[in-house]
Amino acid sequence: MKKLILTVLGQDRPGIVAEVTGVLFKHHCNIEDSSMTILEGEFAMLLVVSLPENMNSSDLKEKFDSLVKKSDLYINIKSFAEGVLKSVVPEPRNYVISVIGADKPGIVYHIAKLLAEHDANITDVETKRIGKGDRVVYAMILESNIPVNVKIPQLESEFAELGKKLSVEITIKPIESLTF
Amino acid sequence: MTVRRIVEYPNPLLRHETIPVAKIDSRIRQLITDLIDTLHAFPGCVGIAANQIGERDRIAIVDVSEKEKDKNALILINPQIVSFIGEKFLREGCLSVQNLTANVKRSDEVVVEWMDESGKERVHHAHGIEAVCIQHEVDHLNGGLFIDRVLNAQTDIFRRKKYLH
Repeated sequence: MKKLILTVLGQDRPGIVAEVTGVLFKHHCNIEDSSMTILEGEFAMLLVVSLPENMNSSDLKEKFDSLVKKSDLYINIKSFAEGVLKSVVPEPRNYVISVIGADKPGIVYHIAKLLAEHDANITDVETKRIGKGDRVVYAMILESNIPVNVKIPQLESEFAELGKKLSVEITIKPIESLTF
Repeated sequence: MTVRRIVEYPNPLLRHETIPVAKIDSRIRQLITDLIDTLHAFPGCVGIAANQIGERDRIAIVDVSEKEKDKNALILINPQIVSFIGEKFLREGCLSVQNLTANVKRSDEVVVEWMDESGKERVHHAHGIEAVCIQHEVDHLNGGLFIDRVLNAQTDIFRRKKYLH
C-alpha cells in the first residue's frame, strides 16, 4: 500500500478539515495518522494518507487541483523517505528539555545546534510566549532522542553553560515511561 | 524457552475478564514459564498478564527488579488488590498497545493478595512502580487497559515516536 504525507496550510476558517478530508474520502484514501494545529490564525494539517491500489501521488495531486484553485490553501504532497521506521519500545534515551527565560532571537537555534552536534534527534517542540510587553517569558519544551554514546552529565553541563550565555534556565530529564 | 506472541489491542481477549485458577497443574506451570520468558524478551518491560499472550487464566508476572534491585519477581495467581493508598502519576506503556504511552493516575501503594506457584496464599504491601505495575496487571486480568484510566486524551496520551533508521 502506498503511503504519502499531505500537508495543508491556510488562514483558519470553518471547513478546512472537511474540504481536505472530503477529497480524500471521495477518492478512497485513508488517513492513517494526523497532526493539526493553529498558530496566530494559520491552520496547519499534517496527514499520513494511504492510497488505493490504482492511485499514485500525481493522481492525488490532481484530485486536489480544484480545491487549491478555489481556496486559499497551500497543499503539498510528499513521498516517504527510503528507510525503515522503527518504533523503539521502550524508549530509554528519550529526554525532555525545557527552556524558560526572557524571549530573544536565537534560543531555538542555539539549543537545536547543540543537540545536532551530538547527533540527537529532535522529535517534538512546543514553544510558548507568556506575558506581554517587556515582561514576556519564553518557554520551550522539546523532546529529543539522544544517542547512547552521549554522556548525559556532559550534555547537562554544556546546556548549563549555554543557559548562562542565553540567560535562560535549561533543564533536561529523561522521559520515564514504564512498559507493562 | 518459549516467547509467546503478544496479543495487541483491539483483540477482544484483552477485554475479557480472566478466569481464576482452580488448580496449579502442568499447564499452569508451563504458562507461568512462558509468561516469564515472554516478559524477559522485551527489555525494560516490567509486567505481563496471561491474556496478553492469549490465555484466559488469572495470572500475571510483576518484575521490577531491573529498576529496583531489592525487588523480586512476583508470580501472581488469582491476585486481588485489597487496599489502595495515595496517588501517583506515571507515564505508562503497554506491550499490547504499542503506539501509545499515557500519564495515568494510580495509587502509590497497594496491598495485594494472591496465590503463589506452590499454592500458598500470599500478601504484599507494594510501593511506587511495583504498586503501579500490580495495578496495571490486575487491570489486564479484569479486562481493562491503561488507556481507560486516562483523564484527558489531549494532554495525557502520547504517541511513541518512530525513528528513521
